[in-house]
Amino acid sequence: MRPSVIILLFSLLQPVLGETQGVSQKGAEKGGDLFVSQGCAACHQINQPVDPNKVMVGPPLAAVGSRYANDPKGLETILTSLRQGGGGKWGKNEMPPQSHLTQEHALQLARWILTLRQEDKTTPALTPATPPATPSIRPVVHSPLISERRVGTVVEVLDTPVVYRTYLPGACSRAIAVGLPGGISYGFDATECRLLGFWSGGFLDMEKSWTGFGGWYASVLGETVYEAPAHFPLRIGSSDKLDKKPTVQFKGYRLVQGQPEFLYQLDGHAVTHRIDYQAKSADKAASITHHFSLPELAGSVFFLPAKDTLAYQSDDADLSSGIFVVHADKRHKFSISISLKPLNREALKP
Amino acid sequence: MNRFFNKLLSLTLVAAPMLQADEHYRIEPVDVPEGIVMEVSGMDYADDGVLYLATRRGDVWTQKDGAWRRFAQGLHEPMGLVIGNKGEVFVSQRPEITQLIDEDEDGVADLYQTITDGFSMIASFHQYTYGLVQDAKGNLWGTLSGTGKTGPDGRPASAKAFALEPYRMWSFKVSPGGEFVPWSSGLRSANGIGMNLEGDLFAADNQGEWVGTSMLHHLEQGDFHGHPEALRWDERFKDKGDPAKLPIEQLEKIRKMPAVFLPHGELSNSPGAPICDTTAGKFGPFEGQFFIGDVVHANLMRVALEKVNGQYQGACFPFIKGGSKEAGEGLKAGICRLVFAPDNSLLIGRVGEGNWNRGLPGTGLQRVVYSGEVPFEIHHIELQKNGFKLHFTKALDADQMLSSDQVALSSYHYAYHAAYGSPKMELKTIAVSGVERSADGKSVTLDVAELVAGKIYQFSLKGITDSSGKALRNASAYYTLNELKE
Repeated sequence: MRPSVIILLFSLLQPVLGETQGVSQKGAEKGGDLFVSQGCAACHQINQPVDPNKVMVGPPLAAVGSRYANDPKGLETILTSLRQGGGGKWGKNEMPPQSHLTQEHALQLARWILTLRQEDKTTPALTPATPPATPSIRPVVHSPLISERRVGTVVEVLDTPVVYRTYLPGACSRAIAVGLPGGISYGFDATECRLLGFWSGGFLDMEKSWTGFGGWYASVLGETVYEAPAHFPLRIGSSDKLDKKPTVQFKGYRLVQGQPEFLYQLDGHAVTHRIDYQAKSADKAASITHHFSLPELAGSVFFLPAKDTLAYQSDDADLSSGIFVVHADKRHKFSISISLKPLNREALKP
Repeated sequence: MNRFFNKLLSLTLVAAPMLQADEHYRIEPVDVPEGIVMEVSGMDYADDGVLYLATRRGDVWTQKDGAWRRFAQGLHEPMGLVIGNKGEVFVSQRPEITQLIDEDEDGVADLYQTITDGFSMIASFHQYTYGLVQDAKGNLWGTLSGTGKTGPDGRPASAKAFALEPYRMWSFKVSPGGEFVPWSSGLRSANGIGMNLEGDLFAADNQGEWVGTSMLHHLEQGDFHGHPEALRWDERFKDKGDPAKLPIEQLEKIRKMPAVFLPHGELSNSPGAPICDTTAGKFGPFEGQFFIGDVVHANLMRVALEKVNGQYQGACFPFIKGGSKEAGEGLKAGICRLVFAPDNSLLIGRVGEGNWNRGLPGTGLQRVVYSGEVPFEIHHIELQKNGFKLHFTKALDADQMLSSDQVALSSYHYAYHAAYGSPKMELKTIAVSGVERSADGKSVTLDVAELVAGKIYQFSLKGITDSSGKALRNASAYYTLNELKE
């Protein structure tokens, strides 16, 4: 363990240890064991969270101890909360009645909680004589066994693409984030089977997903450089049914040199969809290219761009009345490119 | 092995760092890669002895001969993994059931194939897709936990779970063709699934609202296991208002009782997936029984079931307790997944961080190794018309007088209600009127004053020794009596 982490742990743990030493009240000594054995630790930390990123449901017990230390009704208040459940004193969360606790255990816990004190930030912690037996956190360092770098909960893309399924802000719940080397990333919606958009900068911070209670969004690290139109762009069959939303079903993805090729069914036809990014060059703006492959298809194929079609370009399809009609001989495999001019949100409206 | 040597051996092992033992089972550490947070959420072995291990952070690892390799990346909080009958790698992740295929056979998956996403999930906490087992016909099985209420900042707003989307709080089957079939309902958060030797399915629900204590359910099609939220997606109750407001009497009528209640605090807090002992005696005399670990307590439990009137019920026992002097000092908390290794040791996967950090940091692996010396334990409990027959793993001391004083028996039940958890209700001492040892000395029949369906019978034995004078390794048991013997 790195020295800085040890020092942090010491400074967090010391006040608790200091306060509990010398406590002679009956029952208080056992409280620490009960804290673990009776499941309190499911929702509470003793002192403030060792890892400030961690989400805890209930207040740190040292804060409870500090609040009620000089309250003549403190013991009763804590016991009532244990027996009948509590809520509203610390936050919005409610604690259910701890009905599994015996009276004796409840009393031991309450007495123990009253011995705990919050860290006083103005007083420097004393140098501890012995290190804590069990370090509570492990530094997360880079492992050569994985192709990306994880610095804490921040995921950095190195020289191969990275594909993470997670909740992404603004997407449906089934989303996929793809980080490409060179600081460019994009999101794909695995329900609607479409590109969400690109961002430039870092990749993701997984903090809320990894260290919280799960189920929260990954933070996108960077600036949006492209927002895709909010519709599924492909149509097949007759040109008079372009308004009709087709049925899509996600089928997974295949990693080709680390990059995903998304697989889905479009009205029952297999589609392979790869999304490439071309960086800006001396004479060309950066661009995005959709590569579609529909090997089983016999009929017509259309691509519905955004309202402003100026940025779109394709050698495989002709633009007609704002819609790309894919050439008959290119239906099995065609590409549509979008030049990334400075972001114009108006133009994105379908 | 002589006993003196045994004692010496166990002393030696205790002295070694990270290694604790008794003469029957010892706990060993298993190394995981440096710098990786190994929150184990799914494990299975392939026929070639390769361990496949999923983590809550989305990786799938392989391990053979101590060498680790990442097989897949970026899954969305996978909570189950199984190697299929044909060697396929299946994972259950939040949004779907996925098959991971290594097309170019370089040891890393290339194709992440969606098998089914035929259930809803929204961006809210909990909502795990727990799994997985596969049956002989190729069906995959798992459970979907309820939806937690999330506040605007993403933090849990309460401990309550909901099932506002289909098919939260249901168990499910996925046919070999990929069809998603909702199977049984009313599971609050059954973290994992297990299958016994007969191919019957079991899952351990976690204590909470409507779940008085954690409990092991036998999952049959159409069963309702108790959490009414799930009835939103039951044809009988669909579109008929909030099922949580149905009268409890009505819910009790349709509720299937759990095969075994796992006493809260004493044995369990948050049980993980049950694993059936398939080692044919190579892990001790418990073939066909279940082992279950606990995420909060450093505990391994053992469950022995019987069928009474066609329904599973039976007893749970402590097996290894962390911190106990006898065996468990080395066992750590965070136990989420268990799997028997090719060498018949029991591999323990610990998930204890992040969402699962119950203040008890702990991820990674340990294993339990059987020494081959049969432990003196209650093997199983068989209900009788007027009492119970306790079967032991070894013959009792033939010279020892047995008396009813040696059995402390009590009964109680847990409340079935919307509140979170339950105390032991109507806890009372039950008189034992007769104690009779069988001719072979391996079982004892107890006559008891009363037997009532719907009660848990808690046994605590004193001073019972085997023929070598050794005390029971674990002297307590909890029998769930749903059905009386005809």
